[in-house]
Amino acid sequence: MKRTRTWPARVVALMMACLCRWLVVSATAHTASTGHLEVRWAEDGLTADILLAIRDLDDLAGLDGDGDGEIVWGELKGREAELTRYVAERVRFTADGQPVRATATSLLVDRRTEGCFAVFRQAIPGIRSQRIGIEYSVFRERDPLHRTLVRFTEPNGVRTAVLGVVPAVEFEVGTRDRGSTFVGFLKEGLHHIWTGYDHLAFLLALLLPAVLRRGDTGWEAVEGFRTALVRILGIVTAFTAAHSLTLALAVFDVVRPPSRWVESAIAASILFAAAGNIRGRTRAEGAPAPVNPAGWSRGFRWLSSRPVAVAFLFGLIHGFGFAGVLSEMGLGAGGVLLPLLGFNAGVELGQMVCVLVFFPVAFLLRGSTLYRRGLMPGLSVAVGSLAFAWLVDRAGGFDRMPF
Amino acid sequence: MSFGCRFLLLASLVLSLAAQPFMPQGDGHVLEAVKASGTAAIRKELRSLERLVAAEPRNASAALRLAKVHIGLARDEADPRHFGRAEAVVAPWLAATNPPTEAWVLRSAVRQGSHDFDGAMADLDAALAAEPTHVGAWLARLTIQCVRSDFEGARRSAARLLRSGDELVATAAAAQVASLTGNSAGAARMLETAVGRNPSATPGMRSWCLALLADIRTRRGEPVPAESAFRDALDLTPRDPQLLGAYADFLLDHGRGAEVGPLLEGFPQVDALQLRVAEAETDPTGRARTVERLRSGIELNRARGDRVHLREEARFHLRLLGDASGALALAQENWKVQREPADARILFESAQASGDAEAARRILETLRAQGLEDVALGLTPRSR
Repeated sequence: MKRTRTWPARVVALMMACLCRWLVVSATAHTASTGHLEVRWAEDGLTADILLAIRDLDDLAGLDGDGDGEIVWGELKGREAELTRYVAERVRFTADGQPVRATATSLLVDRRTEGCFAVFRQAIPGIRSQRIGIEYSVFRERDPLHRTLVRFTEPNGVRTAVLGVVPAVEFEVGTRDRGSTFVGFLKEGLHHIWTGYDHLAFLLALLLPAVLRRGDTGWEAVEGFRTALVRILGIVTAFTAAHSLTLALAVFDVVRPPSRWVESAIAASILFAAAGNIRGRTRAEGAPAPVNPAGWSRGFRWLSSRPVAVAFLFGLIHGFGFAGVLSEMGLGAGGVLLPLLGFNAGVELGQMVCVLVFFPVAFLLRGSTLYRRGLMPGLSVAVGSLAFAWLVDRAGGFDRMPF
Repeated sequence: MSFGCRFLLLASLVLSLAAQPFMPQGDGHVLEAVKASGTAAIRKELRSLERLVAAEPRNASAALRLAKVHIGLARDEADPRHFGRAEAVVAPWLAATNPPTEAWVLRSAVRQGSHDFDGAMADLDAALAAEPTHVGAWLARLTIQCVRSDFEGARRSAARLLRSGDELVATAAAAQVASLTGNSAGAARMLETAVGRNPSATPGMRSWCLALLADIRTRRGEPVPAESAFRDALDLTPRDPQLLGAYADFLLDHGRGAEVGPLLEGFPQVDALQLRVAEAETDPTGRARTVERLRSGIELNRARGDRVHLREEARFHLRLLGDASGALALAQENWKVQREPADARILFESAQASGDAEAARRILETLRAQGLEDVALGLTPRSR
């Protein structure tokens, strides 16, 4: 009885530890002047976010109009034209060595641990070049210690650089064999599921209890091979059907949810599945009553005891996640169907391999106390903590998780 | 349902609200509170000097004065942005023919602040070539020589300062060298006398001497006179980050960690001081928060390519992360740049903690040969 309650408490402690990792605190530290430059290369052009600390802009241009010691949005907005001009002069882009003109699209604000930043968003549409250069001279005569941390995102990954002492940098957008054949996309699908740790984590969270059932005294082993097999196949099939559906919907542009939402929801789905594995069991004889059995508590219990439903429901979201990757790869001018089928087949194949590895091990271990009371809840807690970290990282816009 | 699961679900819902670049809703939405640097008088001076320098680019004395104010602020607030501004102000004067001596000295101060000791020495050489009796340059030179454990050079600099006519400066210089090379007792006595005989010296200079005295007394294992010297120094310059850090270390070493929090309360932006706050912190969540804040600061500096605060990074790794081998690597890298007693200490402690007895022994050998007296390292004072 006690055991089913201590796991959630430990999970909470672990979650708190993860949360502390990215807590934004109120006091900002004295750092040397640092800006950020986030450039995104896509098939249809470049977008750039140039971040400069409000503090530095105030030193440069005296933003605090009413002198009350606080810089408000109105005060920054009022100087937008002149500051945007300054940025346009000091941050220049080249394509294949030739200067290109960027259009200022908006002025926004971003809060980071070091303080508040003004975000000068620019766009350079229609750039097909694979060699992009950045020249940076913001604050050069005012503060030679100013640096900017450049993040250059393109379909093959993220590159970084530091500008300031070094005035310019060039990035070469990687070319890849797109593999317009079915087999090419199949390999991509395989690769994606095997490096898609979040998708694998979700599957793991669902499959861990699939060889067990909720009994009177906790998790018990499922009797027959057939029962376990049917359950596992049910979960995997539901997941597959759901993510194939939404992958297709996304690729055909029927539904395209924003990627930050999708990534965060994927993390939340893993959390849900993991939480379902370690939640307190339904009331049995002699067990203490839950304090406040709210409607959503019942809902959670109902859903988490139906892994096939969970697999299908959240599989829909995972499908959008796959779509994000597929679209970044560029489907080419030809048909979309073949790449889609190939990619999907690759994902299924990869999934099947993982299940074939997992299933025999789990089936054999299912009766042992080690599995029922140790591995299953333990791995669920680990997966849940990871999911929590992903959730904070993705939803909070930190994007600092290494995988 | 159990608390844990409720928490998880609620957290998931709440955290689905993304936070990335956004458009504030109202004009009154506060972006940043500009914490004013220094006192009102200094701010006023800063503003008028900035205006003057912008209006009269050929006005050398205004530019030099402005740079000096920025350097003072950089040190007093532990804010590196002011170093950048000072360097920018002084740069055009150094590019001209026959730069004013003061320009060299000021840029050397900026470089010293960034721990570019080679660059700082080069600037001081240039300053002293132009003006061989510049007291400030000799004193800066001596400080850097002590930091790099070039004690022969430091003695020569001290000898030059003896002829300067300023008793306090000359004594402080001689005391600094003596205290690191086997005569800490004599150094302490010299300093006490000189401070007593020069009540009208600038508060900054007196405070510096008292801080040196406090450091010597601490290393000699004499906490009562050390504390008295710390307190006197703090009376003169209550917001000096270096002094506060040294006093916090004294408190931590003498089991008075509870006093560190209140002492450093007003300095949330100075990471070096927050390091001490975290070490003294007993509440685990508060400590975790400060540790994370410090970690993000360290990561930002690393991303920028700055390696100025290696000593603090080593200490962070050893005392707060319990990562002895990481601390040792950082402490060794730090030792290549600077060799003050505090650097020796973190190097020795990291070596001990990571079980590298040989390295620890070698460090002690070097320090013994130098004549360093520091009870924290087991090097008991030989001088009486």
